[in-house]
Amino acid sequence: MENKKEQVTDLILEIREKLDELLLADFSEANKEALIRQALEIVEEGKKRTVQ
Amino acid sequence: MINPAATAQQQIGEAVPSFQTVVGTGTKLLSAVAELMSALDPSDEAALQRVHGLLSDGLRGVQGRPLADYLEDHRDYLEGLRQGFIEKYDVRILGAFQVGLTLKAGMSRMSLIRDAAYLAQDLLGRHSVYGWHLEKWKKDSAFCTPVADDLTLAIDGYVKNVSRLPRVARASRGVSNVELCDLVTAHQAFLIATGKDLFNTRTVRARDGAVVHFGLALLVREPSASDELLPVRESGNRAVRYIQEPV
Repeated sequence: MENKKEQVTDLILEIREKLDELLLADFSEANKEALIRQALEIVEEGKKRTVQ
Repeated sequence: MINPAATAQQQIGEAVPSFQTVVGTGTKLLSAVAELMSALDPSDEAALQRVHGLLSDGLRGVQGRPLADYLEDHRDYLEGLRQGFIEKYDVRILGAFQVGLTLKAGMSRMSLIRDAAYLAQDLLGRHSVYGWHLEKWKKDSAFCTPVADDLTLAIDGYVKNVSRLPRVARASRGVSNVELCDLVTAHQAFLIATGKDLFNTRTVRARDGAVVHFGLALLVREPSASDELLPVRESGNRAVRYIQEPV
């Protein structure tokens, strides 16, 4: 169980690193935002599933 | 006892100031990032995995995205680099496949070729010349020796209507008379200035018998015995020549 939580923590940290990388990446602001919005939709979908 | 979920949330919170440091505050992008970070739910691992995958794919897309997108995003900056090169070497486009340039006293042909090799990566997304040639030329005095006085070169890289003349006869008519070092220099200047091949995708010959061919990058082939005897068309090579610039 503890191991599982560590995995989740690592996963969130990796997401944070990837967001850092994305912000610094050679990519238009609009495309960066679209990618982040897409990620938000995934998270929101997950929350809806949990509620149902 | 450390609560991994709480630790993760704390780290999520800490992430926001670092983003602010990087990109400044008040941008739509920063708001979106902050929103995403606070929305991440440690109990929904499936969603976290999908977000992780999405961002990974997105970053791969950044690294491998089409050249056209990159050029569009950096058009002004890259155009500035191109103009800087054109001004430095006073590159002049004299015709469809004709170019003039000036090496100021103290410059070498190799300095232009090196600058072109550097810029081609950004401007064209590819090499301007195969690397082993650069290694060879940087030890070749014809390429590396700085010119004592300003040197102006003007070259026609695609001579049309050349009859089936052997090499010697062509030389007497003032074609295929270009030194390899000048031909390469002119080719590279034209490439950076226009993005095009001075030889119009043809193989051409320099005075010293070497054959220059443009494929993905400039390639020089050592001369063969048959090059001396074959006329231009039979050997598949087009002619080049020095030209006088219009006054």
